[in-house]
Amino acid sequence: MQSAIRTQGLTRDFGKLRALDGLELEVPAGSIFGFLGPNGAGKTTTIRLLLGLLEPTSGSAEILGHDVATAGDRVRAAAGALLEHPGVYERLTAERNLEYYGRIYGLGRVEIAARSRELLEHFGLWEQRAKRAGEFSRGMKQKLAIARAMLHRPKLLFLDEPTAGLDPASAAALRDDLLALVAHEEVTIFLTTHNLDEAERVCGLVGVIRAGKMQALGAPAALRTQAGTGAAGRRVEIVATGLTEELRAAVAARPEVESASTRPDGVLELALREGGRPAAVVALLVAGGAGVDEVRRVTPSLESVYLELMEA
Amino acid sequence: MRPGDVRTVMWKELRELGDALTGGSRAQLVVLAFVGVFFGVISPMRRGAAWFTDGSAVLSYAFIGMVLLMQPIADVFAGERERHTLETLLSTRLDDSSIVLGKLLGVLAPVCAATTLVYAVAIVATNIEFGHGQLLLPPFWSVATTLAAIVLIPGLMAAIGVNASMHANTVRKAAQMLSLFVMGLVFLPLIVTQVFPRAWVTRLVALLNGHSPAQVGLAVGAGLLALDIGIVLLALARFRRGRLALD
Repeated sequence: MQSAIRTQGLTRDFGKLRALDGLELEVPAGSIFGFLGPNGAGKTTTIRLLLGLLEPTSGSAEILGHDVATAGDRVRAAAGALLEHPGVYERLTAERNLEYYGRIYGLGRVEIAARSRELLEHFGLWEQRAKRAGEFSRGMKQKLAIARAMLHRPKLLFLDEPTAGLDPASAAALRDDLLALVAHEEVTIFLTTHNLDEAERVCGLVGVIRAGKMQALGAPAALRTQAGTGAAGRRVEIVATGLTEELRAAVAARPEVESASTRPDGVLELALREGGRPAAVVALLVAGGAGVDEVRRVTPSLESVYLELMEA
Repeated sequence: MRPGDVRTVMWKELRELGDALTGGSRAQLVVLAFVGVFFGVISPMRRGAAWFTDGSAVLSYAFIGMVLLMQPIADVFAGERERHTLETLLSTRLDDSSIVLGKLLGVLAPVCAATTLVYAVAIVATNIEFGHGQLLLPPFWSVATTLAAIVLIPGLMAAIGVNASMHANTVRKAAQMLSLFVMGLVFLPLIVTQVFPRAWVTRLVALLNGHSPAQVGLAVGAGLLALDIGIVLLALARFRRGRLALD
């Protein structure tokens, strides 16, 4: 499969600070890549580098077959972007905002009108089209900015926190839109988000970055499996009746148990040591008079993988 | 540079300016109305047709252009930065020169048009008050010099304004830098006469007196044009997407 994004050793320094450190990334065309990381991890710097807004200190990036260093204009012509801020012109109406960007991307007058209507209707902004964007709520501005990024049907979309400011229904609808774009128009989407559930739902490939360095890269399922061998994968929940504080303390004292705690809903939560198995714990509980109803291993979520990587 | 892209950027600047005037910004309308009435009607009606040839029109209309230009030119980049629209604009396919020239011309063109309109109104007002049935027109050299001043002096300010606005964090800071420039321009004749040796100034005056107003106007116009172009080229050279995105 052809790559939409390929970086080799992409590095960017700001003075003594290394904001991005040797990024190696390959995103297949027609997929959604989720870029996760805390604030200041290097996500925005990466987008700026990929759009040719910043020059790398070293390394290279190729977008849709174009070298960003020598053909930044071609990259920007083929991409649509929603950056850190919605970037809508608040003194212009919603319709004029789209018209401006339609003109920038060389769309004809009829096409601009038709595409603007299609997108404004889709995002529920058609009735508000003659209002200045400055009168819009944060969520409406975000929707307008997403419409603007999609206006010229780009082959690659950079979306920095696209669901920030959207209500849950709009966020869910946008996720469906992104999946449809990839499925029907083979658009590649580079998405940054703090919403790990969102990343898990829509992304085929996920990268976790911290302090400018890629910590993990792979499909969400692969990352979870990988984490299954780590601390996040050694968690066990035991649903039982007759659990006392003494029994919990006895369980916590077992050599195969790293920690044991009782949740407010009464479920006993264990973190096992490497190689540890819950059978002996169950036997101890039964011998102590507890009625064990269910023992289950906790499948690590992308969130637990992420948190583990951030704590490492 | 693609002319179509320059027009696109100009279109947006003109739209914003138009929407600001027809929308909330009453202050700008008041300034425009005052300038139009004072320089287009009151002043010419008081002075008679003498202003056609005494050279005051050149300074008056250049001054109008500078006043009208001050706020919008300071806003072109610094305003986009303040309102967080600049980075999105930079992430488009527009090339550097189209952005710079589109913004400069998008502000300069309506200012020159408005100033020219005031100049035309002033000629009409002079005819109504002093024409007595005859058509009074300024000589060709006066019209040419005034029109050149209407474009070139605000053009100089626009070129400097684009440079000032490009890396200023706020519109206010850009406007302050521009104000310093205007003050410098106003005090320039005084500085020249005070700082340079008396003999130099005398020679300069003699040189000017030895030529017709048209010749002097042509020479000054050519100098201004060269300066305008030079400062626009400087703005193009200073335009760096990376730095602009980070400022």
